[in-house]
Amino acid sequence: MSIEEETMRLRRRLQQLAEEAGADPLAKRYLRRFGRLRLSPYRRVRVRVGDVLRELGLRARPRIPPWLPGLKHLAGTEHAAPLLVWALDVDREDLRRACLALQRIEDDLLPRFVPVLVTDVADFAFFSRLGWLVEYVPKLSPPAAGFADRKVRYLASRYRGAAALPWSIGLVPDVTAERVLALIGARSDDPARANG
Amino acid sequence: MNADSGTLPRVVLFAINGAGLGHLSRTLAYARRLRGRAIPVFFSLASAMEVIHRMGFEGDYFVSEAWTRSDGVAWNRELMVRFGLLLDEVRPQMALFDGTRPFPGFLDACDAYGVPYRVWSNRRLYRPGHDIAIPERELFDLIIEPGELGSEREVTRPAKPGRTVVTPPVTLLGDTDLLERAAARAALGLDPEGRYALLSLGAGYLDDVLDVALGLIGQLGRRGFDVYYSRAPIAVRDVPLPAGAHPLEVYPLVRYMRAFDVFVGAAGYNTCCEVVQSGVPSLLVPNRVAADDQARRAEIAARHGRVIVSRCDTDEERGDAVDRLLALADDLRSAPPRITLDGADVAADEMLALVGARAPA
Repeated sequence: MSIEEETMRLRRRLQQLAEEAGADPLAKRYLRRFGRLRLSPYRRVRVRVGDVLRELGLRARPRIPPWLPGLKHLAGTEHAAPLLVWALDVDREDLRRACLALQRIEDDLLPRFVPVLVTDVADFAFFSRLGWLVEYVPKLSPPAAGFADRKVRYLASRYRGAAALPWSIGLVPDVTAERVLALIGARSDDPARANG
Repeated sequence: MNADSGTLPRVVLFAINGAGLGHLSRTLAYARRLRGRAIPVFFSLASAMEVIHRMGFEGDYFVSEAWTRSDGVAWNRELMVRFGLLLDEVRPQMALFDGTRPFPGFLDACDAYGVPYRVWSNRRLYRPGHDIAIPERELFDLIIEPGELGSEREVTRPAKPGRTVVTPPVTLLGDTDLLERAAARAALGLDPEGRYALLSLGAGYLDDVLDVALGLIGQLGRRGFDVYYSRAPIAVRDVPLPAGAHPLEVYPLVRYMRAFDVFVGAAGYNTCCEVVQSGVPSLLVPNRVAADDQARRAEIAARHGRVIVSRCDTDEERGDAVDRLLALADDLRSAPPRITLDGADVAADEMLALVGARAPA
């Protein structure tokens, strides 16, 4: 399968997973209570009044700050959009080679895109020196055997619409930033995709 | 959770990514003592998951607040969902937070899920001005305060919520887990007759340790030592070592510490405990950026171990410190009496008593 076909297949898969995540009440169940627990009675009343005013359209909804994929110890990532590097069920050494190849073209992707590595490989001594956000997908034993699948669905939803590539892009001989940008459908003059 | 018979309580251990591996090491210390009596699962902000797995534990990782470019609200919202997912799936009886101050995302996730019991492992000894009030005390059933060297078990607040227990010092390994000199040298491939020094001055991003490290490597090298420099698994950049100095990447370092004739380290909680536990003559260089009072802790360590303390700011100070360290190493009468270091066992017993698995002694 060509890297173009792999990328298209991954894109469809992530879209499907993101849709499946919609049926999981996880994010809604937790987020609707964020910052609303352990309030004093006075604060609770104020929050409730605010909710009612927002429902009536009399008060603006608060702006939720965006989830940013950059890390502080990698310069130039302040405004970068995520470039998911999807690497599940991958050999550790192969993944290292792929990451190093992508790291070599990282400067040409920044400041527009920064890699976000989605992986079940625990090689963090290596990852920490890359300076990329790692979204780890561990397999847990029962009763948490469903954890990995549920987290993958959540991540697909969390990064819905973000650029994504299969990890094997890093094994393409002499991969360039131009090739990566072409695969994710970004032109050199495109603004970075927003993610929140 | 491989050994889960379905009858043992499941506990989630939340380790924050402080400087180095201190919080993670402490939660691993608890997990090792809970093994067989509970099923520990990690939620780690320290990106050293392979360390957790190598010790036989499972867990998830989430980027730390100190690393992400997201602001505090965005990060805590995301933390709440990620931690909530783990709680949903693991269904623990208890969640332990090891860190300076519990994150809102942690507390909200515990509330939203309904974690039956919460424990806060809160190492104290802050520098003046850093010892914050702790309004969250009431939100925890049990507060474990890992004691400094010389501390004994003491219940400082018996009532729940917020029952508070100071423990003896918490160490990752028990005394019998440390390799003796010959075995440690064999494990590291060192010459049995060699003269070795080990430096471990932090993860390389908390403070600028480069000048101190290079200066001390030079001083020790000129005195005939083969110098090893410990690199933490989560270092985001490595201290560039001069010719003749060797990198060493092992965890836990204390297991191999007796391979070395002398040790030089920062005065973090775990290092101070391990210096005393191993008995290796040591020079402690307190870090002045960390929130904890490393200068005071180093002085306490000097009362209980073969330890000298120096800031090592200048070449002159470094030379003097190494002279004193070598004099200490040559003085075989300098070993002080052994002290109790079973704080992790005490903490584990308290946690198990909380979830009804075993009453404390």
